[in-house]
Amino acid sequence: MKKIFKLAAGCLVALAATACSTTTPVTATSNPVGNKCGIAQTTRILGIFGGNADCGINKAAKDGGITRISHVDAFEKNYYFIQTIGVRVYGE
Amino acid sequence: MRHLFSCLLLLFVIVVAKAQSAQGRYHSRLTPDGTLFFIQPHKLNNLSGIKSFSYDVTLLNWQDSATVNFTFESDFMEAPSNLQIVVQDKQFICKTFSPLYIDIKKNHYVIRITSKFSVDEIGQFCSSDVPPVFSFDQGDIRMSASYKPKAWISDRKKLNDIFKLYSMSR
Repeated sequence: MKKIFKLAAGCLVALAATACSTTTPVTATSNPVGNKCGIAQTTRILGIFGGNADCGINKAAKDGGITRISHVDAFEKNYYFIQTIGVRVYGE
Repeated sequence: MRHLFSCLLLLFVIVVAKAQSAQGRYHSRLTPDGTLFFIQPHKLNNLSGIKSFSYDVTLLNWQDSATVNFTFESDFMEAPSNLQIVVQDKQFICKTFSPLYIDIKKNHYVIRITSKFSVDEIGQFCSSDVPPVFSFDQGDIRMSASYKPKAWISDRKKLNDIFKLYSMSR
C-alpha cells in the first residue's frame, strides 16, 4: 500500500513538472501589424466538461475589436486533467 | 511515509511557484507603435448586479493610455454609463468608452466594452493594496465587480511585475 502511495505521489509530481503550454501559428495575412489583441479560449476538465464554448477566430477578433487581422496564434495549456485551448488574434 | 510527504511538499512548491509567476498572465509582441503588452482576460468573482465580469488590458509603450476591455453578463440590454475604477480612495472616471458588441446568452445579455485609462491610473490599479472595483451604471442600477481579497493578493504581484516590465520598456 505504501508503494502505491509513493508511486501515486511520484506521478503527481511528474505531472506537475510536465504541465506545459504550447503556442502554434495558425495564419498570417498581408494586413499591417496592428496594436490590438483579442483572445477566445475555453477550459476543459478531463476533456469533457466546459467544452461548449466559442473559441474561434471570429470570437477573438470580436473581443479585441479587430477588423483587420494581421496574424493568428493558437495556444494550448495542459495542467493535470485540465486543458485550456484558444486563439489569440492580432490586428487593428 | 516521509517520502510521501516530501513528494507532496515538492508538488505544493511547484504549484505555488507556478501560481505566483506572471508568465502566461500576459503576452508581449513588437508592433510599429512599440511593444504591446496584452494582459490576459481575468474573471472577477465579487459581483454586484451582474452575472459575470472579466477584463483584459492592452498596454503600448509609445502611448500614454491603456485600453481596458471588459465583458459582463447582465439582465439589461443597455449600454453602461458612469464607468469608473475605484482604487483605494481614488476614483478613476473613464471618459472614453464605447460598446464593442452586445450578444444574447440564454436569458442574459453579454456586453463587451472598450475603454481607455491613463497609464498612471493603470499603474495605481496594479499596485493597490485593496482590491480595485470596476463600477458602472445600467439605467438607474449601480453594477460593480471586484476581486476577492485572496485573489487580489495573488494577482496583484503578477500585475505589478507586468507593469514594471512595461515601464522599463518605455
